Amino acid sequence: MLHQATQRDARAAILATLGTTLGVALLPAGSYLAYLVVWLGVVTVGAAAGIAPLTLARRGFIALPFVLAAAPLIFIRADELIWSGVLGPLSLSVSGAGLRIFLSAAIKSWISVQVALVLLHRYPIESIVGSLRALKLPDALATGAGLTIRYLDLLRGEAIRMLRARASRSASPVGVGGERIGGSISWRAKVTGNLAGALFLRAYARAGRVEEAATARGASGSLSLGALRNPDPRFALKSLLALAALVVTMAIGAAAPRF
Amino acid sequence: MYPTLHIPDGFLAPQVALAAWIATSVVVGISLRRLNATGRDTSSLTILMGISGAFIFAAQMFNFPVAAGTSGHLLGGVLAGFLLGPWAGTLVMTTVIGIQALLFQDGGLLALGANAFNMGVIGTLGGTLVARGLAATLGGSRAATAFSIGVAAWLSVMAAAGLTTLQLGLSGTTDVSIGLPVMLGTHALIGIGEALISVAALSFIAISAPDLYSSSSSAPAASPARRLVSGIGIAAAIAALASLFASASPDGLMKVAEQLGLLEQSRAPTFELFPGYTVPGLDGPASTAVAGVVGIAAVAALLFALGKFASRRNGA
Amino acid sequence: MNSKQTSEEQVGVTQAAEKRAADHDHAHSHGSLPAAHTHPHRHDVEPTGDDHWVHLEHLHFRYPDGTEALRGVDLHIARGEKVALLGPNGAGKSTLMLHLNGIYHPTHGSVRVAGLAISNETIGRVRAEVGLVFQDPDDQLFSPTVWEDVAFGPIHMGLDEAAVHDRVEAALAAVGALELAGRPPMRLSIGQRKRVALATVLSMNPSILVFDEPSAGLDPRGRRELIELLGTLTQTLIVSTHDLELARAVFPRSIVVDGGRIVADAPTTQLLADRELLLKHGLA
Repeated sequence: MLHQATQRDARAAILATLGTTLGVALLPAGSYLAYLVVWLGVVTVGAAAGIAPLTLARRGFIALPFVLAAAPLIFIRADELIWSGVLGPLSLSVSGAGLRIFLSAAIKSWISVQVALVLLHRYPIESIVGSLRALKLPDALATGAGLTIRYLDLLRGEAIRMLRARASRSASPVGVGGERIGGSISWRAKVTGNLAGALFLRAYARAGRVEEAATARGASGSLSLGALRNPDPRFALKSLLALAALVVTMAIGAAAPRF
Repeated sequence: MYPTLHIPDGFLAPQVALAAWIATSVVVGISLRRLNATGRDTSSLTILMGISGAFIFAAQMFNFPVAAGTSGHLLGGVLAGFLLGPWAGTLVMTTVIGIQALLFQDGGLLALGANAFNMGVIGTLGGTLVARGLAATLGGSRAATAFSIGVAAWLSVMAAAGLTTLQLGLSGTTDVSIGLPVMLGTHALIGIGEALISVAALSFIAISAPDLYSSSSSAPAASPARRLVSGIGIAAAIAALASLFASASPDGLMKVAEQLGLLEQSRAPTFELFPGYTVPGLDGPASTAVAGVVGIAAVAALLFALGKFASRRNGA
Repeated sequence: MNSKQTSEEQVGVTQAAEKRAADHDHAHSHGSLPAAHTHPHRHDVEPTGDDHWVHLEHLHFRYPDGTEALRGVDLHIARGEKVALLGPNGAGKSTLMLHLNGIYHPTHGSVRVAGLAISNETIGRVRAEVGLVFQDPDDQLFSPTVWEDVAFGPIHMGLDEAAVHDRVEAALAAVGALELAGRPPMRLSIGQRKRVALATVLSMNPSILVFDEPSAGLDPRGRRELIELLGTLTQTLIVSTHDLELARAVFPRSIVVDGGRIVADAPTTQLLADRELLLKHGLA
């Protein structure tokens, strides 16, 4: 899965991603115009990388459920009340400040996800891991990440087959056992633990085989997984541009009005 | 309250995110150094760690129905720490959380430091050290080990939930007085699932592959770095549990947040479910009592564990 | 019924993993097939209970990635019949078998087993009627001891302790594995694990047993023992295999599947004598 030949230098893109994400995080709450401008920039880069803006926008909602964390602020904060009243048994008030924090966090997370998606769309994950190693991510972490990604689908496939086998034995004939069907919750949890234990032994056995194969190829000592083979000569220039992304984002935030 | 412990970007104040990045980087650095110091063949260990990362991903797919359409599954911190040792386990969990952020947008990039700290560092390193310490003091029998793993797994989930909420609170993006009781309350249950799954998985391995299990669970000799990190881990666990008490008097925490300048203004609850009564779970006497009992039980368990841990250290 | 969706994978699985797990021997090659080879069904009877204990009608299945694994399968199997499912890798045999107890749901067409149309309401009963023995026993065995593994089905069915005990004992005795009860499945030989895997479904008292490649990976003695064991089973048997000797020894009826269709359905002796057919579908 780690195609060394096609691996590309994603260092500048990673720096740009982190810079933009940091810039978005630093934008003050309520800078909706700035959010819009930054988002348009992200979508433009995304379009240049080949993702349709609406697709990107839609996939940006992946972190949306987390806004629940900020939702109570709307009703709990007492400042800048923009509405209060009685709704059935509820005595409610809506805080402008709370609403601002809620909306800003939601929009920032939505934009940040899209920034990450553009990077992932532009560069295969193996290139990103290789570039991270070139950016001084320790070897053990880079190689570990490379192996994790390489074996991800394989072990998930094994997990799916085990779940399938469990499902095919999960019978509940009507008239037998009544409410005990499915076993107690602690028994179910124990079975789940057993599955995890069995899968680990498979993973362990596979690690042994991978090691044997690596030794047979004479790759003792260090694995070259995740090494960046084709460094981009214009990396320094490009990272300056990446840094500019951060500065521009912050400048937009400082200039744009807040609500 | 929120369905996942993976904080996305946008919810953490940059200061909080940065502090968590530094804390995580320090522990990862210590873990890497500790691994090199074990003298184990690093190549074979790296292969095992990489594939174990994939294992954690896959093991998180093993779910079991709980009730009303919800299902439990594993986070895996204590399991990884016990199978690979606390240092390798911490690195594996950190890697897993990093890949979740990069590849699946499960948790933000800027928030990665915090997510890795909450779930990888505290859950795995802290959890494993607590489990080992507790198991050793309880005599190291199979039942004692199982019990200790269960306690540590439960604590790891509680600590992750508590820390997540505190970090959001410090960033001003959640209301801690609601968030803490809700998060700790739900994760007290989720933690039981984590405990049962972790114990079952480890006893499965102990029965099916006893040689592997005994080699992975033997504790290395203590060193200053180890003591330092176990200190950090346990301190963070205490912080998470202390937050249980803070939930009974959230004003103290709010004050901290204010002093840090992260909250623009103090808050006062104006949200009343029924006029004359407060929101269940906020200030109601019954909910306060429940929170108090849970909190006291949890802290008592932790103090007990720490006492045993300390006495073992003195004896050793 | 929700098509395409498999029942257990609500967990956000990557397609590659899904694909890998989907079908052990499922290759991507689906060459075009001569339509002329389809044989008519042997049964000219009304589709009533025992004659149509397994009843597949116009079964189509497409994987989420678009691969068409089944392209119109019609099949009737009578109660107690013993049928071998033959065909090259990637023919659709495993996909077909995973439909028999509702792991996969057809994109089009219908599945009836033991008089039950598979739906969300009947799925629990269907899984009690149809015991699926997977090719790799390690997928199936996940308990610390053999006894616990064989007890999984009965406990899940909600049986009381005494009934579970009786079921487990009977199932282990049926496969000659009583003495293995306390051992960890992972430390058994492949032949022993295959027998235990069979016991884990026998303990649920199914009326239909479905095996995926039971003789794969067995040494000659293990294979001989397997053939003997299969001969003792009284349930309806549906077995996918590449092992023509096994088919000849145990199964009076054989079905050849290729390219997601049934291309032959005949008495085994007659079918195995048709060398041209066997060559054409990669069986010889």
